[in-house]
Amino acid sequence: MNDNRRKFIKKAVGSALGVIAAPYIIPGSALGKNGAIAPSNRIVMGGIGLGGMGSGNTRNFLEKKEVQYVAICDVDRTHRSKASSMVNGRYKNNDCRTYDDYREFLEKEKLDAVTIALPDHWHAIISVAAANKGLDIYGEKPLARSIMEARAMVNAVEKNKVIWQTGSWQRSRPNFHRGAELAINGRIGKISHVDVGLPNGNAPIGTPPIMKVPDGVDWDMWLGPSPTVPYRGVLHFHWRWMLDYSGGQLTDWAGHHIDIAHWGLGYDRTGPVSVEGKGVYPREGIYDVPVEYDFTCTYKSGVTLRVANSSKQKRGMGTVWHGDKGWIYVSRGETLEASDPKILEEKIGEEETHLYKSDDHWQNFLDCVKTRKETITPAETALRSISVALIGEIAMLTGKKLDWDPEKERFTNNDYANRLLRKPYKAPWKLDLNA
Amino acid sequence: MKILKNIFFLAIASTLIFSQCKEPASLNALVVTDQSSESGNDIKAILENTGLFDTEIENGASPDFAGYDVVVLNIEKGSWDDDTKEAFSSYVKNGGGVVVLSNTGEAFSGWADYQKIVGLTSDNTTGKSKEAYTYKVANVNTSHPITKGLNTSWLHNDDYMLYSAGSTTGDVEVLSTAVADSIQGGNGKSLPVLFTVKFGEGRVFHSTLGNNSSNSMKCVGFITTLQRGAEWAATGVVSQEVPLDFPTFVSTHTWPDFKPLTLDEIFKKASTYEIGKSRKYLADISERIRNSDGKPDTYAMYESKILEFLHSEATVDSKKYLCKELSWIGSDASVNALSKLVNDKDLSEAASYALQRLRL
Repeated sequence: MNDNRRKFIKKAVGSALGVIAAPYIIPGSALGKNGAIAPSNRIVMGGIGLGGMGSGNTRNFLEKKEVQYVAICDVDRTHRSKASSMVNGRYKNNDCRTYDDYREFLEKEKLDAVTIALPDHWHAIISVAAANKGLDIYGEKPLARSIMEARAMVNAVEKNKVIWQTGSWQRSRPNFHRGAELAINGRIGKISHVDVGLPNGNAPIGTPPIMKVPDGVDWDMWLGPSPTVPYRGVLHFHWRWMLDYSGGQLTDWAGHHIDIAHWGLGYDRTGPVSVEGKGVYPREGIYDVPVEYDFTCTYKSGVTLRVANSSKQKRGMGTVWHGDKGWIYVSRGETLEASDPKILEEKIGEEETHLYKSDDHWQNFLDCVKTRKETITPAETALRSISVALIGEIAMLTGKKLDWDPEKERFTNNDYANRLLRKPYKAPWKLDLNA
Repeated sequence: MKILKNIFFLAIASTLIFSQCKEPASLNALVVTDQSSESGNDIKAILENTGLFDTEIENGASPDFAGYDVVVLNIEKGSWDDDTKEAFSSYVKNGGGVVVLSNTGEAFSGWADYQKIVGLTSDNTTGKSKEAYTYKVANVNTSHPITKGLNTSWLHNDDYMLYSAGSTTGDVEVLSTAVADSIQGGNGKSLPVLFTVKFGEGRVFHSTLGNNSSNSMKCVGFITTLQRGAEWAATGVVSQEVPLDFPTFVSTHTWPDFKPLTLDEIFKKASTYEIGKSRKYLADISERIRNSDGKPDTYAMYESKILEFLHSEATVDSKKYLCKELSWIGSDASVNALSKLVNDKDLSEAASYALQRLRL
């Protein structure tokens, strides 16, 4: 642990340029000019998981002058080599260290912060380990593959007082912010219902033959706590169509449009009290996530939230809040619409609710690393967003209407369903549930 | 264990045990066919398996329609005399129900009322796909009693697609369409495959499916829509429940005997599963558990069948799959049985996964 640096960063909060003198030695090239920040004063970062999202996040952080990326970790040699080239290209050196085992990475590297972008079945174990090392974490959504994992992660983040930002970047986009702020301030009256449309399922691929694991890939480590299976060509990205690793589009996108729905309702710290719905599960091939899903949650307030694949929703993808005076719709592509365009012109008064404002999701994380303030999507918020999808998934898998206690995070009318709150692990992998 | 206690409690407390009580058949159906006796019998079986119909089959040239609630036509080349044609028109006009199957829509030419009843224009393009193949059907109308509650998009098993419905009359209500694939000689457009027609007081359900004898007629989508369509044509409403294994847009499903398999039959079929083969029978077991009443004694029944299965000659892959179901519906009996499997060379991992949930 780089305690000195952490303390230093905490102290340096607010100093305009962050430029300091002794005891740090500042290379001339990095001094003050053009607003550059001395390497010794930068946030030292590394990345675990350098696939699609991981390399995107790394790219975004490399653009930040206050960041010094020093190491990356991935079970795929191709990812390691691409990512380290990107880092080294940025700093014009060959200093980026590479690891294939996150345990060695966490043990050897002295970091301030880490980005984690992995298949969902690895999120909890590695995030808890990183938090226990005292690292601030930019972690990809969805938070976890099970409710119990998600709670363990939030506990670890809070116990270690580390900063957590979830990759729910829609909160840092103006249309989502504005739509949610109008909704929470009653501009469409009392909200009674929210529709959330997420992507449709993925096309099936049958059962590909067993293949040779690509050179440089540690397949056993990739599987980690999940069941031992032979390699069939499904590695990066497409793991999300298999229940052992993901809940499909439903859980993949919960951290976006469900997250936004909660924001506009002011439900970042609570959850539904009941859930009921239906999923259609494929009967052939290795992909087994629901190809159709449609469930409705009810909150204590009486508000209902329907989550369904976009072809079942009138407006398709996105979030629609319905109030007694109209509706507001937000989605990707800067979409912001309302039942009456005048709603969108409304000013939010000083005394009203002003939602957390960020216009750069990655910068928000770095700012919070420095200020030690909460990010725009802290771990508890991410837990509440993914919980909707996870209890919806359990309602569909059991085929039952379930009552949920959002405080105790247990079903109150069905002990069978409670068993599905846990994702079992293969030995020796364990998750300290009281981390 | 709390759940085990609940099993006993509820087993005593519940006086109603789920059983399939069927009303005696109350609708009369007539199947008129010029096809093999086999296909007439298949249609009869499909109708009677609903428990709603008494069915007769007529192969002759002058069927008598009087007294039937629904007439199912499965005719390739019509040869009715004028009196029969006249009798059929008035049967429908006066409120008789009709189901038009497969290529029956093209069975008569130069008979104006017939064109109106089957809902096809007289200049209808004929023809069918080059081969029988599995194609996707989209239920474009999901509020009609026949299609309500069915998966909105589903795979129809191994059938010729008919192009005749490309030119329907103005008064049809289209329920479902399929794309006439250009590789199969189609025009690439979405054509109706299921639709309804109103003629006088009569209701007509027209299904262009079922052109590849048994393969396509064993499709649960064909069977279900025929059963629902026949009831709707006879009564205007549909009382049948949607079968659990109705096909989805990624998987077909067939009923070899035109009726759902029994649980024991499903377990037997599931017992040969190996990764790479169809896992639909295992999925059926999951689906039945999911759609059950969820009572402890129901889960206990499934649990005992699965435990028996784990000790049978079934494949390792099928056993592993069913351990996942035990992981949430199991009782102490499962804990005991799985504990003995944690050192099994094939099942140790699956047993350990299940135990982690059961011992929660």
